[in-house]
Amino acid sequence: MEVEVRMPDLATTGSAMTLVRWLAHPGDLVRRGQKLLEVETDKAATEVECVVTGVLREVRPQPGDSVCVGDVVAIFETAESPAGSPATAATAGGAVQAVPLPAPGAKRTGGLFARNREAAAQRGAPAALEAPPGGRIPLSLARRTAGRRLQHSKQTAPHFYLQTSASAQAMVARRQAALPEKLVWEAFFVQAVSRVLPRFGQLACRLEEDVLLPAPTDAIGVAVDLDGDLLIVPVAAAAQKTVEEISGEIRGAVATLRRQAAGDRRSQPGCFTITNLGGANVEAFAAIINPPEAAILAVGKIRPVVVPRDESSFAVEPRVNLTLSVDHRVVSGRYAADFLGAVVTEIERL
Amino acid sequence: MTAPGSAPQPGRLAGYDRGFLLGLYERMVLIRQFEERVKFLFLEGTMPGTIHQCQGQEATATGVCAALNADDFITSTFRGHGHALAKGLSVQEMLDELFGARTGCCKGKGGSMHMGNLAKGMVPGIAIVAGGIPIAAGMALAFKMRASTQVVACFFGDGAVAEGAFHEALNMAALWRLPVVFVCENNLYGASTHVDKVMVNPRISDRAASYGFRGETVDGNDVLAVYEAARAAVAECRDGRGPVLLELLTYRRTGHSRRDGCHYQSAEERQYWFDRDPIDRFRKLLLEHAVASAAELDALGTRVDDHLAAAVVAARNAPQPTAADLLTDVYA
Repeated sequence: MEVEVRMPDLATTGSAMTLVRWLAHPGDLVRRGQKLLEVETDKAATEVECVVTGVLREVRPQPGDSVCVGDVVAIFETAESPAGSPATAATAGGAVQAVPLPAPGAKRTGGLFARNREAAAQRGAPAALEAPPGGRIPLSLARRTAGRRLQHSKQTAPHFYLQTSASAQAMVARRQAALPEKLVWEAFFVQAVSRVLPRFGQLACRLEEDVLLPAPTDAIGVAVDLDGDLLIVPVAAAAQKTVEEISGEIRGAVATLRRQAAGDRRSQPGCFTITNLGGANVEAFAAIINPPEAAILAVGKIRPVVVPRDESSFAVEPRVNLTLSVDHRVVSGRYAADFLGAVVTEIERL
Repeated sequence: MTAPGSAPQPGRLAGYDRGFLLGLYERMVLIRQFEERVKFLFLEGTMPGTIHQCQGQEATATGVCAALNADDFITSTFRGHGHALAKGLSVQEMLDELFGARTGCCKGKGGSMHMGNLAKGMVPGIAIVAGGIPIAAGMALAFKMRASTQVVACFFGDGAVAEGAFHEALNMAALWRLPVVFVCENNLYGASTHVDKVMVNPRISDRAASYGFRGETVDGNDVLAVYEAARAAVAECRDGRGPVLLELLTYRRTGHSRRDGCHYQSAEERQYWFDRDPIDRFRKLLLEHAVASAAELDALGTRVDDHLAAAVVAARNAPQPTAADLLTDVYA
């Protein structure tokens, strides 16, 4: 008979799990108790034992897919037991119980547990990133993690914000010169910050208890949004690299992340983060500090601005708004202001 | 091998009644098969809630409870299925409880972590680590004040030993010479943390000396060694010479809970303990001493399994609580 095997309740919070790999393949004879698959829950990766003895006919989710409690994960062809009856069938190796599946719509045990499973059954195929019919969107592990960390940062680090703008003329010229290769704008800011930061070492520190500890890396992080997941791409030793090299490195890292399954993507640590929404036409914004860092630089859209040339004439110049969010426990306003001023100088003189 | 029907040989089993020995074996097999069946019920998703299982630790519960009278009490933990079966709770009342049925030992309101039945001498499982130890001391104080000869056996794990409640309760129990056997099932891991990472002196029975009473470390995978140690400890307690601390060295073959993949146990360590499996060892002993034939022991296993299978069917169909049950048996 054909038997469906469902995902057991291995997550601690009823959240979705991610299939890591299959430990058996279609056509294999799998015995009850044999390891069938590995999933990643919100706590750990764990192997799941098979509840039937039979030939694996079909596997439903693929590695990287999201799986909910009660989702049908595999179809088996088994020799024993009439449908609907929880009978046991003795085999040579001892008593083996076939899994009776509740008929569709049949009453099931348990309150929330049953509801979760029914909700999962209604969703059908495991497509956690698409909005299910009810409009509920389960957050990915990466989004939940980012959310928790940023909430903690916003609630515990006293942020202050410094706003300024810089001439983008030098950047625009440099980018023009590099064509047809299109330099990513973040590369300019990564380079500028990495050159200035050694003179403002406290901004590369992390606060632990009442002590400032140097960050374990000099890498400048670039915030990247991939399918709604917030990730950090680090650029190490950027002060010794050209803008073109940095740009290539960022593009390469993002391409690598894109190739990975959503569940496998990991942020790498840096000592300072740059976030840029200029490409989305945002003129200026204030970012939440990426913990355990001390500051984050938010970059706006480069746009032409009328600026006074002298007492009586004006010029049009490309400019970019910069907003520095700073943890006031780590440095003073003046210290951060001097740092931001130095970054502007660096950007303008490229 | 000796033919079935021949007289049991003495040696290690001298003085033991055949029925008693087979009872110990059957109880351990029941615990193992109960846990295996429950594991698959969980994996199938037909039974609600997570579970903390005791495969590999069957000899501790069985040996200790065999030394107790029906009116003696035990306290247990979140890992209490084995204790409950050993103290005489029925398979049916436990499976019903796991399925949340009104007919469960706690009317479906306790679940896996709160197995118990006061009428059978088991306080519903206390899931807080070390939480049961002061309660057991309190029960023992009550027995003493009532001049009863009852004894409490208090089960807890190695993880409880670092809790303040353990030390406070041991001190008071010693001070008042209470009839309580503190039974530490040392399975080497507090959840995923090895005992070596949390204690400098890994011999837990030494703690008793700090409070002025007797402690003993026992091979917890040898059901007879456990029984004999427990019998002596219970006798001392009944005699007003308690308390006693028993440390039973054992090993958990499964994860801390069903959601724990147990990756922290090394293959060598697992093999070492698999080679000392309490059921395999006792079976070998019974066969060597011709207490029973392999066929008889196998038949016993099949009988246990048939009993479990029927109980699972009944538990699936047991009545669930109704809205009217919502406010009964609840406090605060």
